[in-house]
Amino acid sequence: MYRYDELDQSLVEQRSAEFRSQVERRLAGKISEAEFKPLRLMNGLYLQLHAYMLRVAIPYGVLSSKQMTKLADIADKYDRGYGHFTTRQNIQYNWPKLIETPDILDDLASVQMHAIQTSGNCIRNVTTDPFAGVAADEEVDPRPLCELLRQWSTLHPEFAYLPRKFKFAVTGSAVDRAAIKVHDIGLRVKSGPNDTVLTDIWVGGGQGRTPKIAQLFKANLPVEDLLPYLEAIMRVYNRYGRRDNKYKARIKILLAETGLEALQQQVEAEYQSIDQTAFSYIESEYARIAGNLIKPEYHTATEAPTRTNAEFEAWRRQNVKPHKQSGYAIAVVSLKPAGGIPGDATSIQMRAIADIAERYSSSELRVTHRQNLILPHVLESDLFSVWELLVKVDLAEANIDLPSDIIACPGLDYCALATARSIPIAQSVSKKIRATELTTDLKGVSVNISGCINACAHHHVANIGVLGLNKSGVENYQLTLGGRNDQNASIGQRIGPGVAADDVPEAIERIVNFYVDVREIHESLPDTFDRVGKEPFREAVYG
Amino acid sequence: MNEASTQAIIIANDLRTGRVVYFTKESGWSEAIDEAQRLTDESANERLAAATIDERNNLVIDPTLAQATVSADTDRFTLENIREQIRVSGPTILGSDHASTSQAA
Repeated sequence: MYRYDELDQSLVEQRSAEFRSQVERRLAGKISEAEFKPLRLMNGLYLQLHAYMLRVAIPYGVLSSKQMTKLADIADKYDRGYGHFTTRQNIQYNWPKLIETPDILDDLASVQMHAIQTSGNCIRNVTTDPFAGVAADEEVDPRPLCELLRQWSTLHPEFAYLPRKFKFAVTGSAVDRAAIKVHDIGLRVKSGPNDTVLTDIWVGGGQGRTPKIAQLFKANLPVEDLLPYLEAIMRVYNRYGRRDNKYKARIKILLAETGLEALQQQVEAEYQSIDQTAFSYIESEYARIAGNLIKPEYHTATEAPTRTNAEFEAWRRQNVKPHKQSGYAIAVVSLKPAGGIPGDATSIQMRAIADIAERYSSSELRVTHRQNLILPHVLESDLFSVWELLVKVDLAEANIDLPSDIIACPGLDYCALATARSIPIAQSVSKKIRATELTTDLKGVSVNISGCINACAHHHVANIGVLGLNKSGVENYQLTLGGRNDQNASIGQRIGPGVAADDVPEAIERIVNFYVDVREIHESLPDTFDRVGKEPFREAVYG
Repeated sequence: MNEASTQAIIIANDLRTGRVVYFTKESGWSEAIDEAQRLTDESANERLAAATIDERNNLVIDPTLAQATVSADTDRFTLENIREQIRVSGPTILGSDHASTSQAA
């Protein structure tokens, strides 16, 4: 992971002190709520249904054991003993008090963490492949670029008040685990000739009420030229993005209304006007960042793994992924126990996994956009010991990439924007589907549940998407099928009228059973959907 | 059977803690729903105006009226909007200790 320096430490401490002053002025009545709201949002502090909510940034999803332990301490000291990991690889606390938030930010700053740019119309936390730097199939490690983007976008004076929020995702593998095509800008980093690094820039993806798949905007751009090019895109968006209607303010709408070629021409013109010498530092800075990534000391296994049992083998089959280093593995820790709350971890679990990471994974953890955690550097011979420790704290559910590995937003149980509940639906669905997935091969079938059209749970690009709405005062759930969030990203199609909350688990089970009945060998659910069409699935659900 | 009537309460968030609070008969704020003043259509807007003074005084955020149906037979008070029901009763998460708004932080 990246080694932060004195500048980073100074920045988070200054920002914490600044927010303390803002809170003091608010409590003293020197600034109104209307004046304070944008300031608190810039520090990740929302006001939700029951309380304030603090969203803490986890840059590109990478955490140290020490940081995770601090997150657990904050959960106990200021909240209710748990945290919620999100699809932007961040963590949210649901019950902080305004009067204690400055102390929380101080505690975060003590481990180089913060809540800067986790809200507001700015460039948000950059996300990436949770297997970055360790995936066996990786072409280029995306973390140096992510860190470069973090430094470039943090407190960037030109981009603090964009027309709308702006999200980047980066992948360095042909298999996209970062969902780059449903972000405002998605970057694919790849190898060029003579050890150069090139980037493909995908622009205009997004979800919400107008879901769009990003378009290839610029191919094979040398990484040294990337920041001025991104700066050109951001300037054009900042200038022409709509500010009259927040539902039409994202760059996906600008791209749709302007057209790809015209927008490319505007960006090229802007790019040519930028003083390139101002970015001459990039090549050396990229190399410096890459050199500042703390690399684990990989060892040769001293003993062959001998201990095993059926439960461990099931977990290893489902939750352990191939590592680029021989003898090592990536262990994915599910935060989706059947009937549990997707993405939630208690302070006890957070401390336990921090300890496990310290002992078995070079003190490093990752947060995935599917709301799970990762131990990225585990010796294969240690996997059984790791699993035993995970079992003790109920973190050994063997369901990664299965339907019960559900993404769910907080929904109407917490969120002020939501129109329907998500978490209780996810709990019911995972309970019901878990029995089926234990006896039937359902690997790769994704279920995502959003509690409103903002689509925080990415339901549009789930194989099975669930969207909660309010229909005449009653919660109602639309079902979409055939979405994908990988390198072949596609938007799911609505298959019929919405169903009642209690009927969602049964409807999903019918979809899954129909898929199992008609699929061809190794055929994914969206591929089956594409082949047989909507009607047979509709018939299976609605009869 | 007598017909149900409509009443309202005023809900806001406490500025310092963010917790859900209710406007009381004494023109104060309480975290206990039982202490919320029940308002008729005639009195609702006048009391909302009084509650809004506390927003200007930096005590609460966004006081709003929440409509409820009251059973004439049982006096049972049911908020009409599911959002407000959850706001009052807390998260509905199954089998979890997250579900109480009154739980100590």
